[in-house]
This record gives sequence, structure tokens and C-alpha cells, in this order.
Amino acid sequence: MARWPLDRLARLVARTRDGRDAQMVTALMLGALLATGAISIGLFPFVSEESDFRVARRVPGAADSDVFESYGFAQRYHVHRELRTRHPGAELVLLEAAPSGWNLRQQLIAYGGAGIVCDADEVAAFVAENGGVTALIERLEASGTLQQWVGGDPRSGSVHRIIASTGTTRFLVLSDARTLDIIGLDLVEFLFDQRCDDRG
Amino acid sequence: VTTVADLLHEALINTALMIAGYALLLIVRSARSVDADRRVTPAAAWVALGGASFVLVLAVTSLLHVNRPAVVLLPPVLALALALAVRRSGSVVIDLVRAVPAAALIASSAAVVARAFRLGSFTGDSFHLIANSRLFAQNRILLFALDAPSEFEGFPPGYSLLQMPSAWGGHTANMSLGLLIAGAIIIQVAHLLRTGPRPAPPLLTVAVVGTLMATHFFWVMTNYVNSHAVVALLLLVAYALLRDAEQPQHHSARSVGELAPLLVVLSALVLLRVENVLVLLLFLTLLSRTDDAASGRVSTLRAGLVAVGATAVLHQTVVIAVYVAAGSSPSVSSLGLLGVGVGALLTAAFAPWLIRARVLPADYAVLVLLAANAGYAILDRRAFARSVLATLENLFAWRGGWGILPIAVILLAGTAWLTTSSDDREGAEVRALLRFCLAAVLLLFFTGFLRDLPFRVGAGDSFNRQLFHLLPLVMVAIGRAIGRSGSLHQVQVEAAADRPAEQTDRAHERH
Repeated sequence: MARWPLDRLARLVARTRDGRDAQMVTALMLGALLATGAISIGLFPFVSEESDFRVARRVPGAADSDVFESYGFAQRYHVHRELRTRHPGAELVLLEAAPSGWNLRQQLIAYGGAGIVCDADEVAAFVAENGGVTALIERLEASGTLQQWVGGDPRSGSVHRIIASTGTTRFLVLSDARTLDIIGLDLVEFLFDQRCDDRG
Repeated sequence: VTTVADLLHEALINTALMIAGYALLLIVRSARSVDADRRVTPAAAWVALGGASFVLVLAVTSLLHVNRPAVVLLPPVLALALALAVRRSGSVVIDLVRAVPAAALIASSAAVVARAFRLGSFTGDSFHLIANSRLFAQNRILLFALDAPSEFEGFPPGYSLLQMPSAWGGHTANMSLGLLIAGAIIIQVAHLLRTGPRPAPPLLTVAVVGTLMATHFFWVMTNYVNSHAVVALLLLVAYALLRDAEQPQHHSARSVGELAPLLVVLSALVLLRVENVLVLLLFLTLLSRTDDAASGRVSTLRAGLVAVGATAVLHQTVVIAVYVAAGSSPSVSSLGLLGVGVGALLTAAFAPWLIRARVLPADYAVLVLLAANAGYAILDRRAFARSVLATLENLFAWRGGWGILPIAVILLAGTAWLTTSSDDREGAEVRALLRFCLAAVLLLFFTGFLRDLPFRVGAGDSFNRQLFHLLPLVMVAIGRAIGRSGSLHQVQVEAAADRPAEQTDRAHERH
């Protein structure tokens, strides 16, 4: 008795292959296909704005290159362009605390600039030694090292951030996929002292 | 703000792209199987062949450091020269005069629609690819490559090269390319169903194409700034070109000119994604005829293996050279893929012997890949389990963006496999296509082991995205399986012929 449904299925398959009962199977398959299409339209859309994909047309005012500004992960593109516009000829220094999925070096080279690759743990340790992100920012601001934030403020809690203008012609971009923190020229010097890999 | 000049710039690029594809299509049309059903539709060929020729020509000019905006004209000019050389009758120039306004109209309309509806979706990978296209346009790609060889390797040049002409105009990306690709996929799927020994009825064609179009993920992926939609289209067109080249009446040896469009598509696919070399080896061994190769003649199998192998060897040689120049050791993957490329060339050279000795793994591909995945499960149980669970969640718990399509596809593909047999030509084609898709899925899943990183939950997971490459082909297989018995007259004739035998069966059962 237990084999009965399997026997029946095997017989149906054999008959369909022979051409018999093919119409029934055809009708069933066609119906399933039409139902899939109809249900898919009904449940449209499946991919929400919060998903991995950012669909440009859902972002008000987004068009062509401006679309980059609509995404958090494109912050740096914005930052570079902003810096270049505001301070033409300024030297960009990148500290990328690997591992980072966001290759700022690539974009810096594309848009002009130099890159310094540093170890994420060293950056994190430095930040920790200085009492954490907020404390360090406040200290740097109080000392006049940080004069302006361009493209966001790391204290807002966003992971991918930021840049600091130091009041000189040198700018610093720090990228750390895990924490993305900080900085001032004292950190650059610290990192140089730590023999970071400079491949400018 | 998008200006008219921006639109014209993009329309001009896409017109040049489509004219290149059109010229290559002329070569297909001049092939000897001119009287047979042509499986490649012009709409798909214009975009797919044009895109493929752009990738290859711009790859060569980039290597030679002769990247200037005028290079955009090279692919159509070269394709036309090839078309003139191969085409035996008719006037290519007159055909071209007819084609240019059509291509310009399509390209302009697509540019306007893409901006009006703000099409385009992005992930982090999009930004890598676009930054690379800018670097290619500036001839500064090596500067980046020497700084980060592993990332240069991880993002093959194909898609960035395709986007490079937009960088010349100061644009972020060619936003209407996705729309052109979506249209080409839809039309090519419909065309593959409507040609062949048993053309599908209109309702079936509408059902297949409608299901594809009703899936939101289809539009997200085709307008996603990444290589997936191009790969899906090129695989689909490669399949159609393969079927064109291997029409049953096409017994005599094929010239290189006749195979040129297919070889261009295969080479471009190698430059579009890292794993495509492996997928294409499956594609060629599972879908092309082996009897020609066994006889030692020029065959699609051998020519295809040479195109894939040579492109892989050249690409990986550049990657390895970059590692060495940067003072690093070449990665295992670059050396491995170089080995695969050399293997493809050796397989092409020894194809007749390998086929006669039954060494080519065509028949066992699925089993071999199942064994490979079993090995994955044993060697890295935790990663394998994570990948399986994430994939199940993506496909069946609405997390991958597919909606109910995966459930329908698996049920329908399973039914198609069970209800077809390899005895008739149509059934054999459906089964070969389904076998390839299954093998490719297993191979893509196994890449999770090769890259040493499990798959994750989310529409942006790489395995989830790679499944899109196979979607049009699976839909064609399903449509053809349904259409196989779609001719009611044929079914009735067969049923009537079988009725006496059925009655005899029942009589036996009663006893």
C-alpha cells in the first residue's frame, strides 16, 4: 500500500513521456506558470528599500551621478568630491584600516590622492587609548585639530564615515569597516610611527 | 541634473554598441544554416554581441594604453569589417544604413526611459566596478592594480570596460544599458520558445515571459550596476548561437567566421566574472555536439574551448604579472584559473581522443559536482551548513528577493525532467539544458568552498545573484518542455496511436 502513490506517479510519468496524458501535464504546468506570474505581480515588490539593493528610483531626486549621494555606503564618493570642490589642490591622505570592503584607495586613485594602509587593530587601540571615539573627537576639536566635518559626523552612530579637515592643506580620510572612527594629524603621525604600509 | 547632452552621449554609446552587435549578427545570418530557424533574435544580438565586442576591443586597447573616446567606434568598425569579409551576398552598407536609425531610436528611448523612471540599483560592488571603469578610462588601472592586486583580480575587467565610455563623458554609469539588456533577455527567451521543431503557442510564450517580467527581482537585477544581467544575456545568446551553429542539417565543418559571434560572446563572458571560466567549460561540454569533435573536424566544442581557454590564460597572465610586479606572490585562484585555461586548450587539442576514450565528464558532470559539494560538507561542515541554510532562506523564505519564483521553477523544472525523454530531439534539448543548469548551480555553490566564505542571507548574496545568470535558460527549458506537448493535434495523434496498447495494459492489470 505504501508504494501506491509512487507507483501511480511512475505510471503517470511513463504515460506522459509516451505522449499520453501530456495535455493534462501541459495544462498543469502552464497553470502553475501563469499563477506564478499573477502572484508575483500581486506581491510586487519583494525587494524592499532596506534590502541589499538600493533602487535609485525610490530615492527622491536621485538621478544619474547624484544617486551616489543617496546611499550611506557612497559617503566617501561624496566626501572626495566635496573635498576636491571645496579645497582644490589639497592633499588627500587616506588611512584605510583593513579589512575594509570599501576600497577607498581605489577611489582615491581614481579621483587623485594618496593611500596609507594601516592595521585595523592599531587604529582601534589608538582610539581606545584616547578614551573612545567621542572623547577623542572632543579632544581633537578642543585642540583645534578638527575644524570641520565633511560628509557627516561619526558621533551620529553611522558606521561608514568620515573625514576631518585639519585646517592645513592636508586632509585625512579614515576608513574602517568595523568602527570607522576618527582622526587628526596626531593619529597620522602615530600610524607612521607604527610603520604602516605606505604605498601612496 | 540630466541634460540633453548627457542623454545624447549615452544614446551615442549605446548606438555604437548595437551597431557592433548588428554587424556581428550579419555574420550569423550569412552562415550556411541560413534556411533553418535562427535561434538568435536581432534585438538580443544587437545588445549582446555589441556588448561582448565592446568588452573585448576595449580590453585590448586598455592593455595597449590607447584609450581615447574615439575607441568607442572601434568595435562597430571591426565588426563591420569582419561582416564584409565573411558575408557572401547582399550589401552590408545598405543594411547598415537601415540599422543605424533603428539603433539610435532604441538607444535614445532607453536613455530617456531609464532617467525618467530613475532606473538603476547599486551595492558596494557597483562602486568598485565604476571606480575601475574610471581608472580604465584614465589609463590608470595599473596604478590601482599594483596597489591592490587581489582586488584587481576580484573584479574582472569586463563590466568596467563596458561602462568605460560613460566615464569619458563624465557620467557615473551607463544607466540605460540595463533596460536594453532586460529587453534583449525578454525578446530572446520568447524567440527561443517560438523557434525550433515545435514552436510554443502564444499563450505559453506570454506565460513564460510574463512570469519573468512579473518578478521584481528580474528588474532589480537587470538594472543593477554589476555584471549579472550581461552574463545572463550572454549565456542565453551563447546558447542560441550554439544551437544555430549545430543545426542538424549543418553537417559540414564550420568556418571560423561562422563561429566568430559565439567565440566573441564566450571570450567576453570569461572577462566578466571570475567563475565564468568554469561555468563555460560545463556549458560547452554539456550542450555542444561531441560527434564533430570526435571526428577531428572544427567543431563548436573545440573552437569554444580554445576561445575560453585562450582568454582565461591571457587574463590570468595579466593578473599574475600584476602580483609579481607588486612584489607579492600570485594568488592560488589566479594560478588555478590559469591552469583551468591551459586545461581547456589541451582539452580542445585532444578532444577527439578524449571523446572516443569517454573521458570528457559530460555524462558525469552532475555526479562529480555532487561529490565535490559532499567534499565541501565534510571538509568545512559549519560553512557548508551556513551556506545551505542561507540559500534555503533566500530561495524559499522570501529573503532573496525572488518571490515564489524559485518554488515554481523547481517544481516545473522537475516535472519537465520527468516528463521528457532523450529519445526525441526536443526532449533531448530540454534535458541537456536542465542538466547544464543543475550542474552550473552545483558548481556555483561549490565556489563558496573555493572562496572560503559561506553564503549569507539577503538578496545581495553572491550565490543568490549568480542564480540569476541561469534564470533565462531555465525558463526556456521549462517553456520548451511545456511546448513540447503543446501541439494539441500532435498529442491527440499520439494518444490515439497509443490507446490500443493502453487498453491492453489495463486488461493485464485486471488479470
